[in-house]
Amino acid sequence: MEITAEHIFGPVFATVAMFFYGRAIVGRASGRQIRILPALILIMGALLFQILTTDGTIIDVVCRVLLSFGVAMIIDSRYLAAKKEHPKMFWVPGLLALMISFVLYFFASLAGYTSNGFFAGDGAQDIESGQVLIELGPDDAISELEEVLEKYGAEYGRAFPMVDLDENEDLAQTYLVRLPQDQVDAFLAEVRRDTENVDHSGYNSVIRLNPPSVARRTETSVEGNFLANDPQLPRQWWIRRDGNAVHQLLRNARPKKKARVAIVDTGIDSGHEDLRGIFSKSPADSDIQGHGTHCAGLAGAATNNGVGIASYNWEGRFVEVRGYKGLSDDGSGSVEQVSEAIILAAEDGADVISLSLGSKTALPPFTERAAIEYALQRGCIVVAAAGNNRGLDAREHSPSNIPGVIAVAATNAQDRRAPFSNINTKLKMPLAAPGMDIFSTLPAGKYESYSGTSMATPIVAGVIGIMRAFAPDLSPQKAWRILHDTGREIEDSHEVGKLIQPAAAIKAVL
Amino acid sequence: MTTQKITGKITHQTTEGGFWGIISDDGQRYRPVEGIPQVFQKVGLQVQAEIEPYAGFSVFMWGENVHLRSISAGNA
Repeated sequence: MEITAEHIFGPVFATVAMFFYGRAIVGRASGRQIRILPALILIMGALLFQILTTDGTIIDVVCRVLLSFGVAMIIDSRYLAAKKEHPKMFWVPGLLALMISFVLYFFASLAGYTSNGFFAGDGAQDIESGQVLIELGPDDAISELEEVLEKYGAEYGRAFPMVDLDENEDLAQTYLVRLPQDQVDAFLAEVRRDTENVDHSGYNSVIRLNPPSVARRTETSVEGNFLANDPQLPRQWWIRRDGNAVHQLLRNARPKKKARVAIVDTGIDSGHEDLRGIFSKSPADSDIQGHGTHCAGLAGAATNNGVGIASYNWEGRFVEVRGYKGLSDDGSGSVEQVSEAIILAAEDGADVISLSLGSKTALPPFTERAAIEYALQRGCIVVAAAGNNRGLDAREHSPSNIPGVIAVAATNAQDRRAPFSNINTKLKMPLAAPGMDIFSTLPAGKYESYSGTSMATPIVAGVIGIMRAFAPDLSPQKAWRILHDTGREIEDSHEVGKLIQPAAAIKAVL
Repeated sequence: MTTQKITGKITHQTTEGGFWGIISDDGQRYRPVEGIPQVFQKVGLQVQAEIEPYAGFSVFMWGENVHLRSISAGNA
């Protein structure tokens, strides 16, 4: 923590104020005529100063004030003891103030109610960085880097031990290296010079958790006649529009298989009343942040079950949803985390991998690219969000810009590009889907509206899942071609591609 | 990684469930992956910050993902 003048002046001010207050109280107790009001004003001034100069949450402020006054009272008690004048009057409350301050801060920290206040120091924003990903050549061994690894005090291990060399050379030869943060740049510079052994290298940032605040909006209900009996359906404008057409097609249809849609995200609340029936056993069966649960509902929430929302997944017979935790509970994840989740989903036989995540970069991290290539080789169809940078081309956004990935932009209820959505004029497989005011599932049995290309992505992934249920060998290119050819030209199609028409696309594979 | 000093204004975006970011004086968008301390969560608040690039992904997909090394209110 950077020590500022306020950090020093605050406690000193408090000590001085308490000293005069103590003198006034003791003087009065001894029968002397000492005015207590100036001392009280002084102490209120010290209190106000502490509040105004303390960064952080209210808990930070309270703890800092208690700490300052506790220290001040103990100093006063020692002074009074030396003068043989009632030290207990300040000794006991001083100790109490200190104890309350420490206990309160300890439990508040555990509960996440503190920030970078007086006690937190740099820890409040500590970054657990100091991680690097390196990819060795197919014939190279990590032992060849032993000298440089030792020089920087680095620890290392295979980043993706589940992948064998004969399955994927790039991923099998990727190592996660941990080393002191201040050594990362020098280490990277050195290994990048070692072109004989190292094919690629890059940062792997990881972060501490800090749940974001959430702003949500809801819609008003609309009456209508729907095939599905899900009570929240009237809040779903895109299902109101074409849900009946899809459900009519699927009501009596028999799929060749139940397709697996993998949601690589913050997890999925598998116990949610509207997801329980379509969730398939998978690593991320809980979700603190909520984003993954929202996406899961859009991909395939149980439909016509008399509960919650509808999706296109009629009676949950066409798509099952699996969760893979590529992102931490604050919604961000390192390259290694996301890559590992994609690899696991591919190895679990996912038909569709839905990636409602990304980063603004024209050059995808080498590990991410390798993980997606691995999934594509295993027959997965990968769908990724085009990003929310208000008109940036999705070519500048990864992983939507990785070859073979279907990139999804968002539209609103008026079939215009959602203002926040990226455009998609350069990539080979663009699509547009509803992504504004999208009502779906959230953890703990809740439902809310979110907006984002994240919402458009699982809607497309769910539709492709249904298509795969009828056409298990459907390739990514073929799936996109059907969705594109059956899609509707909208006013902004030159920016975002065609708007998907789920009923027509599913009909094409029946 | 390179630390960069920026000045800009706090913004709140409602996409993806909502999040806080900084729009710098030159129009660049930055989203601290650790979030923005609560005391600075005021739309339009002028701040100066030290940031570092973050080489990862997020659900928010807005601006540059960065680590926030320090932040304070005001211009200078």
